[in-house]
Amino acid sequence: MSLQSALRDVLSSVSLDPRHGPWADVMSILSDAFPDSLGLFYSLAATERAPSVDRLFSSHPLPGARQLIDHYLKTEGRYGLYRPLRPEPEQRNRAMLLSEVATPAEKEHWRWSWRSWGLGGADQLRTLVCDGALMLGWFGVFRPDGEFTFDDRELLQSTGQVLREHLRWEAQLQRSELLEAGLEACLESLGRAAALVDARGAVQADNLLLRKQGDEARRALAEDLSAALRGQPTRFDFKRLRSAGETHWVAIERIAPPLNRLRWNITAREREVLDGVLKGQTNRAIAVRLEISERTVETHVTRLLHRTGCATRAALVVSCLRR
Amino acid sequence: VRLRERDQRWVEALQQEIDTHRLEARSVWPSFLPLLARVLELSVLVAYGVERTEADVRLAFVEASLTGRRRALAVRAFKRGFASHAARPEVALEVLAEALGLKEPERLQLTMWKQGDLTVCLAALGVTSRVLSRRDRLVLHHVLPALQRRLEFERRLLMVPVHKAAVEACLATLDVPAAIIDSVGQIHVGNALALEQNERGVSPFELAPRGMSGFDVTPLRKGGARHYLAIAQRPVPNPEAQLSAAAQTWRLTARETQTLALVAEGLSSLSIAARLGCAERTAEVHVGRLLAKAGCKSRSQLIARFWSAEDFAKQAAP
Repeated sequence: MSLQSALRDVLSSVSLDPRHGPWADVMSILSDAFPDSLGLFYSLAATERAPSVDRLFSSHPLPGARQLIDHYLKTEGRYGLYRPLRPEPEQRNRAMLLSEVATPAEKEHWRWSWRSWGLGGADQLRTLVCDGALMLGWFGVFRPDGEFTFDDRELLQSTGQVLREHLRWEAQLQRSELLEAGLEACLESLGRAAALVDARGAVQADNLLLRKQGDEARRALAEDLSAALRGQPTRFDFKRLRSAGETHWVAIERIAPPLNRLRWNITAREREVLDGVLKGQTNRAIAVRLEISERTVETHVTRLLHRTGCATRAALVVSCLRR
Repeated sequence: VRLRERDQRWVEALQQEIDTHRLEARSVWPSFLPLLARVLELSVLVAYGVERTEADVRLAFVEASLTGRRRALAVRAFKRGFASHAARPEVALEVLAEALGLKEPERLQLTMWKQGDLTVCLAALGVTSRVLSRRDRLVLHHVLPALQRRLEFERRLLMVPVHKAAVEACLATLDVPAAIIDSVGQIHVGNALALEQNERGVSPFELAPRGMSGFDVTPLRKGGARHYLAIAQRPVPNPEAQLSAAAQTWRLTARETQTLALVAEGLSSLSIAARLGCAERTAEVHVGRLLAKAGCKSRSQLIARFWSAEDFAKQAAP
């Protein structure tokens, strides 16, 4: 049981960043607990269609292990053992010996695969770490003499519970990170000032264009939200998000078409200039409309060309229509 | 500093309470607070969070180490006290003590810590009759990191559905297929157009992360760098179709149509002349006539008009 509490310690001291996982420490604890054995742990990248190894740790170097397992996952378990991602119910979270689950031919195949690791005659005790039907990871030990006791099995199985808890936690965190990063990218891709705000209009996430407008603009969002709720015209368009708990809103700056379709990160001034370019106005006409010098308009246009990677004004217009 | 053996067991029990059912239980407080109150031998333990923003101060949550009716009573009293006394927690604690009928209660601030905009506080209340001992502080010291991690975790999980809904709302504003995909092109979150495209057999998103043309692909900064935001580019109007529509609408000669094709690509008069095999001056004449027929004042206006398909439909209609 000291193994379990040691593992629990290591796993609960992990930071919230899943990339700095505790797996190297876990591996060393396991190799202490299973002397004369070779330990291997891998987790699967959380996709449902094309499984692949996410992280892999072993107590001794295992050249080519990642490729071997990735290949196995792709062949959808043709060499016995288990169905990747969705193992049979009786295989989930249970310590099992390879010699129990594989046919003699399959066993031969695997021992042949491990030959280069010096494990030609080994047996393998392993647990498929599953959350419901979904497989999160695999861990187990190889023992060259192939002898495993009942205690070994108990130990491996209960360790699996600790790992499972942690992997589920990690999967949730990864999902949360993914959505956070996804939201950031989505807000940037809108090409307009935009933010996620809570029920009181406080900014939870925003994009570069909004940040450029300064703190004043962020504070004004709250007033804009209450104005929108009163049905008054507002600078931002608020989309209500439906989820449990507090109401949140996505606020997106209103811009007249066709510029609202653009997904470039350009400033409000550049957008006004671009509007003129798209209408076929000359630099002079744009300068008069915006009450700035013609030279400034030229600078804006040059910067627009540079940002969008266009060589000519015509190319810029064509490019706008594409995006 | 080492804990005594008995306390070590308490700390383990507390950590166990925090760690187990990590995902299932929505909040750790209802099971954790009563246990901590028992370990520290305190009659009532209160946990509350105060959120400070530029605009105001508000109570994010409050929990008490009680059960049933007394817990509900305590929570209600604290909220009432907080709301009616200019957001001062110490007054709210007094209102709570009064509601529970505690005579001359002592108040003890155990600890507080910041979590983003949130300040989380643990306070003891009632006839505590002793200051926080060294041993109590030691127990707290060993338990707090796990508790803080757990609370941070709960906060993040709570934001998952919100972030997902926000991503969906953003993608829905785009009028082209757009989705968050992984390295094999599987859609994690997508707008209706993307999902529809995906339904129809082989998804073009599968090729998107490998740099398929027709998509703007942005790798996500976090999330393991295995995910991408893929947004389909709007299809350009077919130049051939635009050209014949323009020739018809503006009644262009064959030579002018040829010239228009080159102008639309953004070529200069000199390059146009070279392509047409005529003098630059002649090319300029062609362009001039084109502008007149199309009713445009400048080349860029002509280009803009040429590439916007609706324009021709509008002109052709009357």
